[in-house]
Order: sequence, then structure tokens, then C-alpha cells
Amino acid sequence: MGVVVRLFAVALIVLYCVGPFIWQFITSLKPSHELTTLPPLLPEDPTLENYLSVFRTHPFGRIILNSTIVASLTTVLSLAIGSLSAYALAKLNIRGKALFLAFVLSVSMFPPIATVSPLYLIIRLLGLRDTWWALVMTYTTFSLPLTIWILTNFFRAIPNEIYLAALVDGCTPFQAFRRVLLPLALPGISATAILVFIFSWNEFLFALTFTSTVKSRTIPVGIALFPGIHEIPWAEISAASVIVTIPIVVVVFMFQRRIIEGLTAGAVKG
Amino acid sequence: MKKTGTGDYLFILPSVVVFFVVTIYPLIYLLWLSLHRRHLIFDISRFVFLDNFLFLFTDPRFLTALKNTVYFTVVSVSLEITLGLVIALFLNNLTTGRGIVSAIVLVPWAVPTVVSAKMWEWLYNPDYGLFNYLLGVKVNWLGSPFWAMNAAIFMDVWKTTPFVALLLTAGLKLIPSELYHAARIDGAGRWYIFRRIVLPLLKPIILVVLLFRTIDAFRVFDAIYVLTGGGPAGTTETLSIYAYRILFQTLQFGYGSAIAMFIFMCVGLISIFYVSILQRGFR
Amino acid sequence: MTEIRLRNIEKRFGDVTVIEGLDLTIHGREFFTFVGPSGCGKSTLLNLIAGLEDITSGEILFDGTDVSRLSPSERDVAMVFQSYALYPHMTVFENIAFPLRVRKRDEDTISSEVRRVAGLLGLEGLLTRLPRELSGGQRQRVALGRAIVRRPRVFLMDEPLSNLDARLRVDMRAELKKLHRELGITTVYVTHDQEEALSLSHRVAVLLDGRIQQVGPPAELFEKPATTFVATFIGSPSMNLLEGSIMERRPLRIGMDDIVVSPTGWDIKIQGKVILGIRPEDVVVSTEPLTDGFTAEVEVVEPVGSTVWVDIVRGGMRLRARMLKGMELEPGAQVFFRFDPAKFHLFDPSTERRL
Ligand SMILES: Nc1ncnc2c1ncn2[C@@H]1O[C@H](COP(=O)(O)OP(=O)(O)OP(=O)(O)O)[C@@H](O)[C@H]1O
Ligand SMILES: [Mg+2]
Repeated sequence: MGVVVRLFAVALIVLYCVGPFIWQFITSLKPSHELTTLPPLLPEDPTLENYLSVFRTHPFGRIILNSTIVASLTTVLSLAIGSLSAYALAKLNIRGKALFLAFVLSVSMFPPIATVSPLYLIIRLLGLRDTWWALVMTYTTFSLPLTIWILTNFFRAIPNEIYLAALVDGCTPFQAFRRVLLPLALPGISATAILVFIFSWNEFLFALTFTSTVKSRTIPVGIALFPGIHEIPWAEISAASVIVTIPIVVVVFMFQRRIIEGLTAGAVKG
Repeated sequence: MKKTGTGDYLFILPSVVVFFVVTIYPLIYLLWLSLHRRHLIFDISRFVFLDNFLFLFTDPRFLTALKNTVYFTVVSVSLEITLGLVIALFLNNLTTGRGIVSAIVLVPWAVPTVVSAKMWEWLYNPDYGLFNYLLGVKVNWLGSPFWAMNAAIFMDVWKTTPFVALLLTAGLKLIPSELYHAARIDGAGRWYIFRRIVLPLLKPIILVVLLFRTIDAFRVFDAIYVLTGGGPAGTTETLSIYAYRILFQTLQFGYGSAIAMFIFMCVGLISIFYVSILQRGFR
Repeated sequence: MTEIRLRNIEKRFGDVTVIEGLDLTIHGREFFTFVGPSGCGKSTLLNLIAGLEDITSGEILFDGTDVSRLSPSERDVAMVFQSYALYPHMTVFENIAFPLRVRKRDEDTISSEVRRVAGLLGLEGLLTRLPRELSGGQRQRVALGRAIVRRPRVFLMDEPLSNLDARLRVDMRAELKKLHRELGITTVYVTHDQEEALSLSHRVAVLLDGRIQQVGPPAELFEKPATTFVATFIGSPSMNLLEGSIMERRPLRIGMDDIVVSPTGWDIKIQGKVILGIRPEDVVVSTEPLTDGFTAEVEVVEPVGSTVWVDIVRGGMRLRARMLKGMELEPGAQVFFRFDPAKFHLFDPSTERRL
């Protein structure tokens, strides 16, 4: 392949992936009267008004806070619960490992729509409707398969002798986990944490069903139900989209290798 | 391996409890609901056994949703795998800037589906959308029964091809470069090498990716729900959207649960199908 | 000074029996070695003593107390692994300190103990390094340090020297010996290298397929191997095993092919076939005719430092022998050889046991 062809291909791929975001960004800078005139492409009178209004006239700050809290709690819980199981599956002598792993994998294929209605009834019964906990509980469960799967692979990759050495040195199985295995699986933990965070940050169906007010509404629902008076407020939606996309872009660029590691650990070894 | 203690089971206990409460119990509940006529507003609940399931196949709206879902799944997954493979082969040959390009490729996958759906809805806008402007046409993409589903597929392909491409790149990396060299020396051409060496070695990963993608596409909800809301005239309504509407807009929990159960069973069959192919391949 | 008793130990993985009916007492302060080929169950046995694996049946006693059901930490053993199993995320100091930290010793004790051990092993300058910044020999020392820092009842070592180069291995042997003398802790050592076993230990057990072939001090294994396996496994190069048939019992005359030998010092009961073992160093080869010697043809010449080994063939008989100093031989040459009649080992061909 010639250098020119290669460069052209790279440019094409990059444009394909990034193009829609650029347009979104451009839109977010346009004052509302410019939205309805297409040439020119670029805003003639760029403004940050849309960004301000996302926070001023809409409770977007609170929505972002909800998402951050829900995603963080989910990540912590899922890692705490999942790493214990993964450790047991990788290093301890328990029966029915294969069965448990098979079950874990099948949970990852559950269609969310299949559990949303009974979960809704359960959550209503528990009085958890429109709370963070309804989402945290659900997201933790549905991110557990990924967590367990990736971390089991990471724990398995740690030589068994290291685990045995910890036992001989006087550790209980839990101490061996906390003091030796867990620190060694840190790359896996962070890869998993990023994936779980992204999953919870993006989830829509459960969030749409379990939340009803701004008290617990998360970003995807906030954007999907963005209120407009007559017209759809495209410029504000664009601004809100840009706001929530930026942290993701930052995470992706910072942890690109980790994310791919996690995804492939999840898929290739499966 | 080592000492067995019942204490060891404590490590998996939290997961087991969580799985039981949030997946197994709801699933049993769903089955129970699906055997009832249950309406949240009128507070009716009556056992009707399989009536809901029998009704499914006489319900034209359900059949349309099934047809839409299958169309969406088949077309989008085929496009994603093909395009993903092309990008993967290209990324695999890339020597410089691979990290940056990989990161860029990850972005569409990483943003919330809702955000990308809104983004595309705006791009598709009949009056002020970028597409019509660039193409110099005036098509109502999301408003026309012909275009709407394909527009949704196009968006889904855009969003998930990166994921496919990156997994396949990881698979390509596992193929030792000696194999290419050996084939080259044996006088094999590019296309021949691809068909006879790369594809067969990549097959297990392609199958895994196909499994993930098929299941994801089959249960698609947010992308289409936000983009078209199932319209126009139900031409983009998929099974998940239909189930959601029945459940949470008309509050018929019995019938809605039957649709959800149907989706669950389809997904189960799809996974069993792929897993059995995968297992046969490993023997 | 713990005495270890293994009583009728059996270990199965599923339906594979790895250790079978093993009975043994390892004395307090003893340096005891299990030696055997790969896969014979050495590591498994060590793991059983450590408590890392459960025994299927039998009993393990430390100083008369049954420890079979205790966890590794309750047994108070220390173990050095073949791969060292250092904790990659901890410095040398933290690695050595780890067993003390787990036992919640106070910071001053930890610090002084780690420094004492580091001094003993020459690790003072390396305490802040991570394992990956160490050479093989240094890692080995850290692993030892982690084992000795808390004066356990028993040391277990699973091929601790096998990842070192030949030179370092010999040096470390001497250090292990010295360390054992200084600490006086019962040590159970595992290796597949018979030379290492012989040079280190008070007593050695030769293991084959999970069964003990022979237990005894090194000299006894060498001089009176109990089975043909021990005979060939102990000593390098391996003992020659030849087939013969008993022609006369008193005085003993045994025919092999077309020659007759008369091993001395044997009083045997059986008749018919017999296996004769003779070490290569007890077969002398010369270019000059020897009294009571036979002719043979040289097949391979293998000089190893001060000695030269030759493989010679006579008819259907093939054996390795030591060549006298100052000879030049080419493959194909005619030579004379002679057995030292006092150095024969006789084995029953049906049981492969020593007669
Ligand atoms: N967890 C296990 N499950 C099944 N079989 C096992 C297990 N661990 C060991 N074995 C078998 O037990 C036998 C003895 O293994 P062990 O590791 O004790 O051998 P070893 O003497 O230490 O060999 P090496 O010198 O290679 O380390 C081998 O045949 C091995 O395959
Ligand atoms: Mg071993």
C-alpha cells in the first residue's frame, strides 16, 4: 500500500468515526436562529449560550451528578463483589466452577427487556422507585458477568505459586486475596472499572423505567427526554451531548489500551 | 488443588445472592406474569396459561415487530462484520499512530447510545440536516417507511463497527507473522492468504463477535427508541420497543411479559446456536 | 527441631493416584531430600506436608501431633518454591517482612528481623529493589529470606535451585548447607537432581510413581541401591545393567553372552536369570591386554574433564566404562576391558530388587 492510500484510509476512518461529533459540536455553538439556515456550515456568530442554558434553564447539573454517583457506586460494588467471585473461581477449590461461569456468561446475554418489568414491580414494592439505588442494584448485577469474566482471567494469569506462597507465609484465603492477588490484578481491575463505568454511564432502558424525576434521572434519559416548548431544542441537546461526550473521550484516550485489553480479555478468551 | 473449606464458598456468595435477586427471581416472576392477564391500572390479574403466547402469533403488530427485528439484526450484523474486518485488517497493518487511531475508533462505541441517536436524528433532519445538505437532496430519512429502518441500521453500524474492528484486530494479532511469511514464500497472493489463512484462524473470534453482536442487535432498544420511536407507522418498531410500549405505556404486564419472554427465548436460542458452533470448532 | 511423620499417606486427583501408601519419619533437625524423575509426585508430597493440598488418606504428624487437617499457616511451615514466587509488587524488604506482617508483629521487630536475615543472606544493599530488578541468584536469596525470617518449624523447598545456572547452583548448595547448620530447622528438600540430593542431605528418599524406592543416607543409596531404578538413577553416569544367567552359585559364576564373571561377596538363593549392575567407574578399559579382561569395540568416546567415558560393545552387550588416563581412542578401535568383581550389584529380574 502506498503512503498516500494509507493516509487517505486513515483520514476516512477518522472522519467516519469523528464526523458526527464535529457536526454536533458545531451545532452546539450556533445561536438558535442559525440552526434553520444551512449554508453556512460554520456558525457565523458562535455562542456559548446553549451550554449555559443546559445548566441554567435545565437541571443538567443534577442529572450529571446522578449519573456520576450511580456509575461510581456501581463500579465500586461490582468490583467488590465480582473480584471476590473471580478470585474464588481462579484460585480456590470450589465445586461447580464451570457451571457458575456458564451461568455468569448467560446472564451477560439476558435481554434487559426481559427483566425490566418484574424488576420494576420489585422496585416499586421496595419503595426504591426514582432512587439511585434502583439503578445501582440493577447495573451492578448486569455488569457482574463482565467483571467476573475479566477478573477471573486476570487472577488465573497470576502464577499459582504466588498464591500458595501467601498461604504458607500465613495468610488466610481472604488475606491472600487482599494483600497479594488484588494488588497484582490491578491492571485488570482498572480495565474492568472503566468498562463498568462506561456501561452504567450509558444505560438507558432501566434508567428510563426506574426514574421519573430529576431526582434520580441519568444523562441518557435526560438527553432523550430533553424538554422543548415547540421545537426540539437541537442546539441545547447538542451542547448537552458535547458535555457528556467529553469525559468519555478523555477516558477513552487515556485508557485506550486498558479498554481494549478488557474487551479482548472478555471476548477472545470466551 | 488446595485446602477445601466451606469458607471458600463465602467468596461467591455475594454474587450468587445478587444474581438470584436481580436475574433469577425476576425471570421466574416474568414467566409467572406472562401466564396472566394483568393490567396495572385496572388491577386485574387472572391466570390465562398460554393464552398470551398464543395471541402473539395472531397479533399483526407483534409479527411486524418480529420481522423488523430480524431485518435489523441480519442487515446490521452483516454490515458490521464486513466493515469491521476491513478496518481491522487495515489497523493491523498500521505501524505508526495505531494507538491514536484505536482510541478514535473507540469513541463512537463509548458514547451513550442515546447521545449518538440524538446526534444522528439531527444529521437526518429533513430540513436542516447535514446529510440532505451534503447530498443535495431532500429526503425525509426518518419519516419515510422505506428509509427509516435503514437509517437506523446505518447509525447502528456506525456505532458498533469500531467494537467489532477492535476485537478482530486483537484476533489478528494472535496470528503469528511467520504464517504470512511462509505463505508468501509458498507463492500465495494476498487474497489467497486472507481466505485460506487469516479467515480460518480468525473464525473463533468472528463467531464470538457474531454472538455478541447478534444478541445485542436482536434486543435493540435505545438506538431506535430514541431515533424514531418505532415510527413511522410502526415500520421501525422492534420487539423490545413493542414490549416496552405494551408494558409501560399500556400497562398490560401480562401480555408485555409474554413478549419479553419470547425475546428471552429467542436470545437463548441464538446463544445456544453460536455456542454449539464454537464448541464443535474446538473439538 | 520438629520431627515429621508421614503415616500411610495417599493422594489422589480424581481417579489418578499420585502418592500411594507412603510411610516415613523425618527426624528433627534433619536435612531430608526427596529425589525422583519429573512427575513422580515430589511437589505433591511437599504440598501435602505444607497443607496446600489435602491428603486423601493417612496422617501427617509434627512431633507426634496430627496436623493433617490444619491450614498451612497453622502448621507453621515455610516454603521456597521453584519459581521463587516472590510478590512482584513488593520490595525485597516487604517480601521478607511479609510473613511477619501477616502475623502482626510490631514495626520494630519486623525491621530488625528483616535486617538480620538480609545480613545473613547478603541482601543488605537490595532491600528497596523490586523482584524484577534482581538476578536469579538474588531472587533465590530473597525467597530463602522470606522463609527463614520467622523461624518456622519446618522448611520445605521445592527445587529451589533448578532455575539457577550450574555455577550458582553449586555455590548456593554450600550456602544452603551452612544455613541449615546455623538454623538447625528440619528441612524437607525436593529435587530431580541426584547429585544435589546426595551432596546436601543427611538422608534421601528416591521416589518413583508416588512410591518410595529406597530411603537412606547418600552413601547407602550409592553403595547399596535397593532397586534397579535407584541403581540407575543415583550416580552419574548411570550404572550399567546387564543380563546374565547364574551358572554356579558357590563360587558364584554368571554367564553373560560368551563371557563369565565371578562377582564376589554375594550369597544368592535364586536360579536362572539375574541382572548385573556395574558402575562405569568400576569397568576399566585399556588398549593393552588385561588379566581377566575381555575384548570389545569402542563405539563412542566422551571426555568429561578429568575422566573419559567410553561406550563399548561386545556382541549383544553394550556398556559404559572409564578409560585409563593418557590413552587416545577412536571409535571402532579394539580395546580390552575388565570388571572389578567386588563392585557388582545383583538384582532379581522379576522384582527388580537387590538380591
Ligand atoms: N491438580 C492436579 N490434578 C491432577 N493431576 C495432578 C495435579 N497435580 C499434579 N498432578 C499429577 O501428579 C503427578 C505428580 O505431580 P508433581 O507435580 O508432584 O510432580 P513432580 O515430581 O513435582 O514433578 P516435577 O519434577 O516435574 O516438578 C503428575 O503426574 C501430575 O500430572
Ligand atoms: Mg515439582
